[in-house]
Amino acid sequence: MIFLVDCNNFYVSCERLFRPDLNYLPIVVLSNNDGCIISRSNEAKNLGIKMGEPIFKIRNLIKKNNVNVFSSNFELYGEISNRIMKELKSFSNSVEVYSIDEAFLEIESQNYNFIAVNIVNKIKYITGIPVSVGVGKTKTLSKIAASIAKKKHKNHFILDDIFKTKKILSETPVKNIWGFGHKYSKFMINNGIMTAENLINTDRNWILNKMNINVLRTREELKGTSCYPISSIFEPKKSIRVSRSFKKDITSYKNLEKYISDFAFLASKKLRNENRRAHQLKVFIITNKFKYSNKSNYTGVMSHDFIVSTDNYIEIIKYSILILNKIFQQGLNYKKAGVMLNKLSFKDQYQTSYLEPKKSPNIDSLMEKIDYLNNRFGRNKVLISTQNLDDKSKINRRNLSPNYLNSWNDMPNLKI
Amino acid sequence: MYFRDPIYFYNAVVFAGFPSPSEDLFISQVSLQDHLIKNSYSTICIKVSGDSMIDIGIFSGDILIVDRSLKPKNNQVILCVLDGKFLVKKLSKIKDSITLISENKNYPPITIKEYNDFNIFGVVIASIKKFL
Repeated sequence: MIFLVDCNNFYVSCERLFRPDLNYLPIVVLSNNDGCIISRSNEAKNLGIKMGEPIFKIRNLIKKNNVNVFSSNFELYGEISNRIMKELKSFSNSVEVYSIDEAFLEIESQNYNFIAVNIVNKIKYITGIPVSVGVGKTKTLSKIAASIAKKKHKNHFILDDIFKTKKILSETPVKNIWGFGHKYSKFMINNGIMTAENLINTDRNWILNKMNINVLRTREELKGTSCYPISSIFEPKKSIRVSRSFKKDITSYKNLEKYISDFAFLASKKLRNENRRAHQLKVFIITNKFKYSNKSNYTGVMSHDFIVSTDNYIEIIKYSILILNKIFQQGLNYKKAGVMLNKLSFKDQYQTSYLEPKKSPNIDSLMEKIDYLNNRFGRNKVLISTQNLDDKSKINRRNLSPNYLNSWNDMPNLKI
Repeated sequence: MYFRDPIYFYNAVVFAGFPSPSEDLFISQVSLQDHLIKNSYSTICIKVSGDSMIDIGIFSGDILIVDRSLKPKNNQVILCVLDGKFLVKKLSKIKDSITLISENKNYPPITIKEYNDFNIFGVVIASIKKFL
């Protein structure tokens, strides 16, 4: 059977871990740049706060009800997620980490109820995060089971009995099926396919003609035949991307150059953390689409291929700026920009080339020293001079909680 | 804390001349991390202030290493949450009654009542005190 383990209100639960005084109080967590609500405690849900709602729309509600607002602290959430996933691996050898707060597990047993309860209790005990578990024959069914568990306010739900499954599927609207977007569910409803049960009874050729093979796969999954097996093999990222929307539009080249250098530095840092090298660099800048009519909207993109793959901060920043030089147009309001590193390879697999420009033997050790100093003394202690030194103007994180688990300086400080 | 690199406090000595006959013995190094931490994925560090545990040697500014995976036993020092507040106390469990004992005679023991919101966060396995 497939188990879907899903953390309840994950970001909020993480924020509460070291703030037990916030238990039973309404909390919300905001997206990057403090824009929209991306996680709500049950108390906040009961106040009628919606997922994805922009914060400025509900300022009054938040003030009136003393809702605690947090900026997203992805360093903390990522670390807690790692710990949860590590713990899940003690239940099964095949674990697929599906997202920061969800994982699929494949488990065979005589007593699924016992295991589901065990998972819920152990994760809560070891990591402090409440989870709910959905169990079904396939991933699609386990997803449905998990949503029913949440609806019934239970911490687990198991779809094993045939009659029970049939009944549940006849009550599941198509829009709640895993993987169906708005477009397909609308198309299906217009054609009289209202529930998962209806979809199972739809002719396969009709599905293939009118929709696509993935819908057919989902239909098989609903019937209990697995089409999406657990992929527990870690698939390395194919590209690394750092991009941001700016709080205020940027018009000057000098400012944009600072941001691009920053993004390039961050992207290179991610690259180096994973022990990888990049073959291709891409830089893009996008104008504010609300400011211009469709015609004068401008998106500048250009890429550069390195002769030999690189993980060198200075080289990556240098070429990012050269590209920016070419794509920048004077007199426009830029809203968004980013740097991407593509065609990644592992460090030990890298190929040399006779075209390789001669490189200074000290460059690698210089890079390592930059990493060492930044790890030792905190982020952004050593920078390349074109970077944006005024860190605070970059993104809004006004209500950021401390990075409790990953920094000696942010360790919880308790009066005992 | 995510303990990435083990901390070594002993390094093999390198001799310039004839190889040291004891060189083979230096193969394994002693890691401070292995000594202090059993399960890095269930371990957290906290900094404490206050004087309620001074008789057992926990002073303001010390760093406590807390393991969530251990089952708390009688007389162990625990980190717990009582009505939304963190506390470090000695656990005393007699039958079903739980009492939290301070290691300072000026602080009376706290007996957990039914209406209290109480849970144990982890077992304190070590205290780090730095002199410099």
